[in-house]
Amino acid sequence: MNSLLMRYRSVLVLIVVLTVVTMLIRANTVWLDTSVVIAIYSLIALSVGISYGQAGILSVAQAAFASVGAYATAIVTARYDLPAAVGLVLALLLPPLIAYPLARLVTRLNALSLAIATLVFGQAFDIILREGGDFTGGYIGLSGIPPLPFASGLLQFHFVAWGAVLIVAVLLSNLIDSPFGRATNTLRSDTLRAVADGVNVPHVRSAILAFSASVAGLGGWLYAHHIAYIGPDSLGPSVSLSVLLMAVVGGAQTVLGPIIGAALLTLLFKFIPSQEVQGMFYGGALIAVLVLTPNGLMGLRTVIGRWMKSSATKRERATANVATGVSAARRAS
Amino acid sequence: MYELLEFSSRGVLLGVTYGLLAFPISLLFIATDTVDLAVGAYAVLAGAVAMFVGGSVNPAVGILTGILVGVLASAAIGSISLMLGRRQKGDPLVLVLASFGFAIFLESVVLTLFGKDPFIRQPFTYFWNIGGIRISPQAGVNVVVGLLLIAAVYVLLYRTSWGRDVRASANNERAALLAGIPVRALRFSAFMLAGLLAGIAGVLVLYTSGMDFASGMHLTLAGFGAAIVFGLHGPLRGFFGGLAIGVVETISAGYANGGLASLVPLLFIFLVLTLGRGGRQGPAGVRA
Amino acid sequence: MSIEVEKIDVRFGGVTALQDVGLTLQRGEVLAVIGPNGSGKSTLFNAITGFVDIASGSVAVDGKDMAGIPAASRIASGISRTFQTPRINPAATVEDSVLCGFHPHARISFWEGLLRPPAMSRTEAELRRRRTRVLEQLDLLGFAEQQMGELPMGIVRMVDIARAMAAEPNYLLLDEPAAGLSKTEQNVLIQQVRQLAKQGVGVLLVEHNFGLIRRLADRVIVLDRGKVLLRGTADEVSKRPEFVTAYLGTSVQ
Repeated sequence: MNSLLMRYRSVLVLIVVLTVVTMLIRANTVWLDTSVVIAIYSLIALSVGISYGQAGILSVAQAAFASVGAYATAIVTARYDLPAAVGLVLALLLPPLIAYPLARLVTRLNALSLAIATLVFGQAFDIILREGGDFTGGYIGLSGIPPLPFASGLLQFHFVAWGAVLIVAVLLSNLIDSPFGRATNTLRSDTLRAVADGVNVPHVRSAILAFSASVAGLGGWLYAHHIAYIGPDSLGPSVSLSVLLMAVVGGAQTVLGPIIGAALLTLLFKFIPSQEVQGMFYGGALIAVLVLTPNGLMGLRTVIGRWMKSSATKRERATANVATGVSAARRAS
Repeated sequence: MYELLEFSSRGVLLGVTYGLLAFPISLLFIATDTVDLAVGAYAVLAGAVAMFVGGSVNPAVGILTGILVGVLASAAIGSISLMLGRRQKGDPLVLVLASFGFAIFLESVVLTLFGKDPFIRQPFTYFWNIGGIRISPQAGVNVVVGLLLIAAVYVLLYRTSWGRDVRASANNERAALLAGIPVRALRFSAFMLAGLLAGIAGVLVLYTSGMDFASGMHLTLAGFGAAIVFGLHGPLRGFFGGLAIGVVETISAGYANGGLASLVPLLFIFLVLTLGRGGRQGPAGVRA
Repeated sequence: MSIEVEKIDVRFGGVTALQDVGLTLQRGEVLAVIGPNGSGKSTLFNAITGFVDIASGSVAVDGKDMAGIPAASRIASGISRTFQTPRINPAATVEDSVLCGFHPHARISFWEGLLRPPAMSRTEAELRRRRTRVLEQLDLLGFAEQQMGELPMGIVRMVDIARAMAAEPNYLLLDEPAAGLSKTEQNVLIQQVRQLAKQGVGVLLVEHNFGLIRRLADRVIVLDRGKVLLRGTADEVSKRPEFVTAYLGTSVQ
């Protein structure tokens, strides 16, 4: 029971915060809209948390994976009048179907090559979208994407979007606390160590990137049905950067970190005067965070926690030595 | 045949700029074992400044100012890399991430200052006619500048103590530190040199095919593709890699869809990454 | 049932690290590899486990040729190893580190990790029980919740060995396991290695401490500059003059 609480503590915190926030904003359309945007960015930022935070894969094309999901649902619902559920299946499946082979084909599977491969994918996808003619809507994009039939009101959409975030948070919590997650964590810090544990490094890396792409695709699906329009600039490279920033600001290795980062930056973004300076803000902030707190806001928590714990253990050890002289303590010294 | 030759000559024109962009990328890879994704952004910045200062003052001042701004931009990322190096114990990905942020930052700066219109200058209104093929004199300028820079980089890397130290500290940083090589200062100077080369390339792109505020990432990738086609460890190979990519790109632009032709450098890169060239891979699938 | 290494050569660029080296490691025996620094001991480990490519010769495990089989699969099929410098994540706790060693037995796919079906919870509980047992055997229970970065080298090495043992390998390759260990810890180590050998595990040992080798190893191979210099029992080897010069590092001609 205790371990269950430990595993899902982030999810529980999220549920409590969401309940309070929903009560406060349920009648305010402006804030509900902001909340939905935060949920969508949370999903794409969580996808960064999964790939970069858990496995150390730097993907600079997470927005492109989201865009795959958004375009997939836009094309099937707006063009072929198929239900949004079909779009959802495609949005969940197509991004990983690109991501897994992409990662697997890059034979020199070191972190740098994979980062470049994702950049290549992002740029290539951008070109294909713009040259895609009627199918992708070219430079103009696709509009008239229908709203979700079961969430036509903003409040319902708020629940659907945050429900999706909660599901991803549960899945990610599960994964972190599993042998697969432990192997992922080992290979992030030390690939050879993971190999010596018998971990199939290329498979684990590719599977994690695929999972992350699928989560991004889910975000793209929500994006398309919320905004009702998708174009090549909607989820472009600058969004890839901003979600990286969100994850790094909040703490990419934790479940809550990317969500906190998404909320914080979306709220801050409301105060930025114009579109043009957006990139300066995000780019500058990312560099500042990397230089100042490499583990993000959630990292500050562990720094404080470790400081408190170490002073506590020091006291404990002192007492233990005086009282009984426990062999373990003596051996450790 | 005539068409093919003309496309090829245009390809050389474009390829030289890609080859020049490959220099800073492979130079930084040799010196710091990482990739600076903002190289294309320095080029765009240099090109934009060269165009606007050149337009209001005079072209030569514009070109010099543009190149200088490119060097200053790379000095900024050089300082950032030194600050990161102290904290991150040399994780190369963190610098890649920071340089990605810096690229978007510069893109936004160029957009805010110079707007969305394409930047291009084509001072030559006539063409040379060589054996029936029309060649812009700009091609001559590009090739001459390119060859001069190849020679300069070669001399710098293989004939000076600076080059020897850069190569030594890239091979084994600890040993280089023990031997009294100022590794941090060398890294910083490598970034400045990369900015200089990217700035020159940017000015040539301005005078060749032009660019707009969002071209930075494409130029970075074109340079990266050029750098790795024949192996990332030799800066001189990058030049010929650039020529190869430029020629294939213009030929495919000539015979097929112009927009899709810009996929060519990307395909080159992906093929090289897939075939695992440019470095030996351990059987464990990792670099020890 | 044995590891058969036949006439292997390993080259790094122009340097030959191993030349014409062969050995047989039976299950249930303890074989020690000794030699001065740079004689190719760790390279031999890397060649057997697939961390480096061999230029010629062959490595076979239980009759199966290992050519083209990646390192991770070799580990997963029953060869565990430690590193000369333990590779640790300083932030991880001792119990989490050892849990990672169970990877070949966890048999938990990505999907199970994601969805956590009841069967996986049972496997996890079982792994945690086995982890406690391994920690107990190596006298490490007292450190279970400490972070690796806070521990002295001797304990770190023992945790590394526990991690390798967790995979319940048929062959265990220990790279200088006793370096930095206290006398008490060495005794625990010796007892464990004997126990493992009795249970049928083949143990290959790189070690500098000849006293420990005398107490532990059935046979000894002496490497010098990438070649096999001598083979025999610890007593036989120690009486040979070539051994004395090589081992004391005075064999510079």
